[in-house]
Amino acid sequence: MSELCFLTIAEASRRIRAGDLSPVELAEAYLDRIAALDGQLNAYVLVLREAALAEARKAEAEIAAGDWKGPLHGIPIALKDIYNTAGIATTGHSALFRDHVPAEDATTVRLLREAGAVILGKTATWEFAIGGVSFDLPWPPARNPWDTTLDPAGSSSGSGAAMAAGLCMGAMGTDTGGSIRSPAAWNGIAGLKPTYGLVSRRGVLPLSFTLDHAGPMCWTAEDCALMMQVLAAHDPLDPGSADPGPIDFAGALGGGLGGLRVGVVRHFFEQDAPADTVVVDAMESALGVLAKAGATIRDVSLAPLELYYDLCNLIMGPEAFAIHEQGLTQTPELYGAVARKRISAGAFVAGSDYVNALRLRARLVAQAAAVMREVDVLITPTRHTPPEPLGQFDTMMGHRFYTRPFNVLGLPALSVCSGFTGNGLPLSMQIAGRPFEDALVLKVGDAFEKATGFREIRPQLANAAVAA
Amino acid sequence: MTDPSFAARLRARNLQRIPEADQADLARLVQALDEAAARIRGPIGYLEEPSNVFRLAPAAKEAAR
Repeated sequence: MSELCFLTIAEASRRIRAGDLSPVELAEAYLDRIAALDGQLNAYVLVLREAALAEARKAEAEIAAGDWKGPLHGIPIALKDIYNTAGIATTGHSALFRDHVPAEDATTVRLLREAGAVILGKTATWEFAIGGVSFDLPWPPARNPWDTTLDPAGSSSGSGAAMAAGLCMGAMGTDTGGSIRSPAAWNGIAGLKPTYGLVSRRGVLPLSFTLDHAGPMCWTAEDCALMMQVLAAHDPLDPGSADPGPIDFAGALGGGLGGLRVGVVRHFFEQDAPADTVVVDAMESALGVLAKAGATIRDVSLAPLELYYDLCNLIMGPEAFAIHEQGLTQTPELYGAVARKRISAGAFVAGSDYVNALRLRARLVAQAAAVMREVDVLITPTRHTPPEPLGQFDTMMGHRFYTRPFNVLGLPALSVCSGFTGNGLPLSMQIAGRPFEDALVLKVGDAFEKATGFREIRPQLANAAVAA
Repeated sequence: MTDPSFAARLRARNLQRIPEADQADLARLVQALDEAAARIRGPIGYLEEPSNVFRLAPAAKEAAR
């Protein structure tokens, strides 16, 4: 019953709660679809069939007994394979961690389990969330379901591909420079990098302590809101965790965009790193949709995109090398070439340059806060192109795109599908907000999705076994 | 063939086991970081320091966690 695999979390949850949909039937549909199709996509590195069915049976019994835990109860979720899972390998897609079996779940995994989610498996990632498309790792790279010769982007590549292909109903990604939003963009889904500190990173293999974010990847912004309702919780075990108090993500959705002030960071995608015409055209159409929904649109300026790249590189480099120094000096052969090169470069950043990058970062945060007193959200494209051929994009020195500023600034940023190219490939728009105004960002994304028909279009993966 | 000066930098960071095949790309990445660092260097007056990321919480509050 592959049509079950194209329900949103919101739709499935309503049916599960009403007793019209069995969590066991739902989990079986996904597991069967994964078995039939994932050979084309390599989205999963580990499928937890028996455990998922056991969790689904437990959810079904609990709901039947009147103990409905909320919108994620019985919902099949995939985890990027850098989220620790108790007793289950968490590899970082690396030979170095091939036998790494954590004793505890990551905080977010615990929260998802407590909410009754069904964990389908662990998804492919760029090695340790930084490498790139690599063919020298223990598992192959994920492929894009819109065209399997194309790149799903990364680093949360398996989560993005699985989500778009109907191989999970929601997924967890992580984002240090764009690793949720980039695969969201190239897989045509919604992906939220929450405000820094809003979602715990405890138990997630770290890359860069001050730039790492954990967050949801779903078909819709509404589904991201439902996941954030569970994921946003103060965690004293994550030193970066914030405690902004309760946020009603789902309750903030709807109600139109009247009075919303939108700032377009046009210099990012027109001067600093020009986007393809097809991307800019989709951007303009999307702004028209927002204006029609009641928003006022104006251009705003932030610091040049390249400065954000400089700071991101100078901060991420030494932070990542500090984590991987032992591995890279003692067993470099256990890394793939791309991750080995990218992480090793961080060894050569002087301490004073790292500190000055952090100091300048704080200035940019203040500058962005001043801009955002005049507008409520910022808009850019997410990626500068539609999906490119697998392995073509140079993750080390390639063309700039528009996600990194919001890692440097820590602001919430959502990627949504903004349309399609003439040959049916997804395009993307990024919506960023003020600190801890993730609910507003999701509201804007949800309004945009509901005003357009882009959520009705799914990738068509050929497979006779599931076509029936 | 690795640039001798870059090979010395690798040794100084105990990265001499990085494969020879990686070293041209790694040198490019390091050069890009050197250039990024040069771009952001300049006077930042400490009196206008915008952040101090070293924070402590009262012991009683920590103990209550």
